[in-house]
Amino acid sequence: MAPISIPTSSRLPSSLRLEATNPIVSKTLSRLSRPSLISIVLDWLDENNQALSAPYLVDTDEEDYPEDGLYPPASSVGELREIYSDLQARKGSKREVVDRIIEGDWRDGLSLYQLAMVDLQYLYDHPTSQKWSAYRIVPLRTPSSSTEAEAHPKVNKESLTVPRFHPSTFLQQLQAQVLPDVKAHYNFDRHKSLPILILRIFILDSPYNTDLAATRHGGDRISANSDSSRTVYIAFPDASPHIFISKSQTVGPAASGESKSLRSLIVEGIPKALSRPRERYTLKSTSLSTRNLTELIHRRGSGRTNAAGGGWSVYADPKKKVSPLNTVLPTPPASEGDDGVGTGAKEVEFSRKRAVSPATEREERAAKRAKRVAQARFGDTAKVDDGKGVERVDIVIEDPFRMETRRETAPDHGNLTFPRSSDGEGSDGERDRPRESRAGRRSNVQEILNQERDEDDIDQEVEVPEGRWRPNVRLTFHGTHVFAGIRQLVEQGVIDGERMPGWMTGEEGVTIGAVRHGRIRGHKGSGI
Amino acid sequence: MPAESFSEPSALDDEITSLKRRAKQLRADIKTHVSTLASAYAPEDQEDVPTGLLDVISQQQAHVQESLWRIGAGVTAFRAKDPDPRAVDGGAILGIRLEIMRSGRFLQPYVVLLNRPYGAKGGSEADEYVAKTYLRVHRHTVPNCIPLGGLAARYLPPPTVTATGDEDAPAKRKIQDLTLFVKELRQRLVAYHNRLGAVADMRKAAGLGGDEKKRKRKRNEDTTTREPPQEPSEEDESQEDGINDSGPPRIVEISLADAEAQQIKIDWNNGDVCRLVIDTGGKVEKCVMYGAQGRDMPAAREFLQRITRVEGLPESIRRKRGLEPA
Repeated sequence: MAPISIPTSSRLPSSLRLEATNPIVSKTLSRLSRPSLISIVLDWLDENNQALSAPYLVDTDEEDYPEDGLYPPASSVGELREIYSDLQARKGSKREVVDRIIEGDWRDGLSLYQLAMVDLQYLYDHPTSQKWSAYRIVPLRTPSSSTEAEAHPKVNKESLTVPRFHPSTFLQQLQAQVLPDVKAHYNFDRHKSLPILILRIFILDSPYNTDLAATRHGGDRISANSDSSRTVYIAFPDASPHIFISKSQTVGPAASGESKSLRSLIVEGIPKALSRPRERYTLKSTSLSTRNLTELIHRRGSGRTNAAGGGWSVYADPKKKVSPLNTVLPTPPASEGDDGVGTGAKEVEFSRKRAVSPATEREERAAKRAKRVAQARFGDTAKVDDGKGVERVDIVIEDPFRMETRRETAPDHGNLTFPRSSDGEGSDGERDRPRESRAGRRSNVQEILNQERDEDDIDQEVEVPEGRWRPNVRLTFHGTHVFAGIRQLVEQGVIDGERMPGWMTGEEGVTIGAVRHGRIRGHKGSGI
Repeated sequence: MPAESFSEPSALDDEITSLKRRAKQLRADIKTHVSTLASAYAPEDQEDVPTGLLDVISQQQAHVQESLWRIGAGVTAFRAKDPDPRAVDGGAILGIRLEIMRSGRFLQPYVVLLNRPYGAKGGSEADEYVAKTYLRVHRHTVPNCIPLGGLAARYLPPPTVTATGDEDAPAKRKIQDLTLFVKELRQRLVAYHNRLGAVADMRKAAGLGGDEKKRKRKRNEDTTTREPPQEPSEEDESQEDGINDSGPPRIVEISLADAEAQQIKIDWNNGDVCRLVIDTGGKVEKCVMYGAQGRDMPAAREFLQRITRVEGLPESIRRKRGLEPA
């Protein structure tokens, strides 16, 4: 322990050790699987990591080294490496390894660096363990006068600067934004397979940046529950002015409050840390939040696919590239026996065709057509196995009820209960409904959308004429890969692919949106 | 006997695969021949020719013409249809295709798709005009490092009526300029690819081939604040693949430091660093060199005098095998 602990505003050093008895330590360690844990321990024992993750060693030459029964301390790193390699080779429980770490080889405690490694390994092992929201870094207008400077800064839409991000400068700035009574540990890591840089921020509520920070009398009352809420991940995709921030995992209001405000302190500091003199930025929500990082990279990454979702993906698909120097038609006329499999299938179909009844034939044709329609609407996106799925999509329909259809089809749809009222009463209902629903579970959806409405000044002018009944319809799609599911329904002919609105193909790239005039409000898919 | 029974099916398998390969090639040949014939053949008497063939010929000729425009003009427009039944303007889409050429090859073109969401048809005259002429970027494949949003806001503003300042003057509608928009966008795309190309050439000239992805990863690790123990390993690596302190300094890495490829970072094995900034026009704007004694101003100045454009960068490395800052 450092001789004096004075409150400072610097960050927590990576070498700071949390006591091994700390509940966070055991909880973090036991989240990992046994193989990952052992491979991480072997990483700790690497020569290069000794400064930050040195194990508890004892010099065997000394006469009176303490002899423990269960986990006798090793004398060298090499010896420990052998022990853990042995553990790796044979089977056993995870508990065994965790106990060995906590009570044996790292009884002095684990450094924050080690904890960060474990946490990040957990993130790689369970890529869907965090829910990420994508934000766009947008430049703000540089105020030209002092009065303008005091007003709320406006987004500079005409700016041609692409925000740059420099990790170490960013960290320095972020640290400057964080108040001195909160201490954070920062750890950058390169994602193993995706082009992103992950920053893990671990927050301790303490004014000290020495060992005292992690102890009870040092200020922070660490409990195992608050662990997840005090860790914030920020992911920076390569060559893309976007930023992904992990959402707080706490469920229920109990753990929120204090830890939430710590987190929001950090999050609020991000745009300020990205800014430079005469170059200010702010974060703008892009209405996309998912657990799937691949999807985020696909939609908000550096490639061509950002604003060409759904059927538009043909323009971004490198396989569909047609060089102007190639004279062969992109869709050449089918010649006989285009490929072996095709002819086989054709023959089978041909021979079967004679046998089947006209009804079956019609069905087959319809199924084929549905497949083709799905291909046209979705392109090569939204395949079940493409690994780019969102797990939840919230849609609010803001279109007024179509009265003309009601008049035509009202007798058929007896189960549709809507007030057969005059327009005046209808608008009353419209005013009441949002208020009712605000108490519901999905109230934050409405909140986010309201917030967005304020931002979207373009859409302000398009107002639905008053006096028409607007039912309050919300749709929530849930699943492992929502749009792949919709695609399958189209392919099966459950959804009419030709009449299906465009947002159902996922081409807008949002997971929360309001639909007006049959389209997601705010031109979300254009990427601007 | 058993040897034969084993070898015979495998020989047949080999034959089947080779025949399949040949069939595939022949089919490709047919396609080429068909396209050659169809583009050359102009039937004089259309009645003699079956309609299917006429279709092929007309399609082929349209394709050839399109290709010709794409080769010659660089920017071509096309019409597309939005499959969304609720799409604005009946799903009419104006597509703009921007070709990028690099070392004798056409890269995949960038596409910007525009629609007309403003105004209302059948409204007043002004409304009709707005509906007909005002475009908006609907979808595009332009990467993030090109500020398409900013360009669109400048050249394709929404038709909002803005007050001109004094009360009496009629309010003015913002005017869109598609030509300027496309012109600037193309310029930026081409410049971006030229910069990328120059960096690739520099790497080649410095003998830095290899796995681009691996380099990229390493580069990002370099720029991040790594934990102290990581540092020695980096040095070890550079010493391993570099000649140790003997001999002239050698470039070990040339990398991009930003999304727009405007900042280039060059590392030598003796720890010297050079940072170049290239402006959007391709001019070398700034050059900073750091040697063992700190910032090396004369070397940077000398370099800036020698090399003024991005095209000269690969040549400078090829000639000197390392810009020799110190």
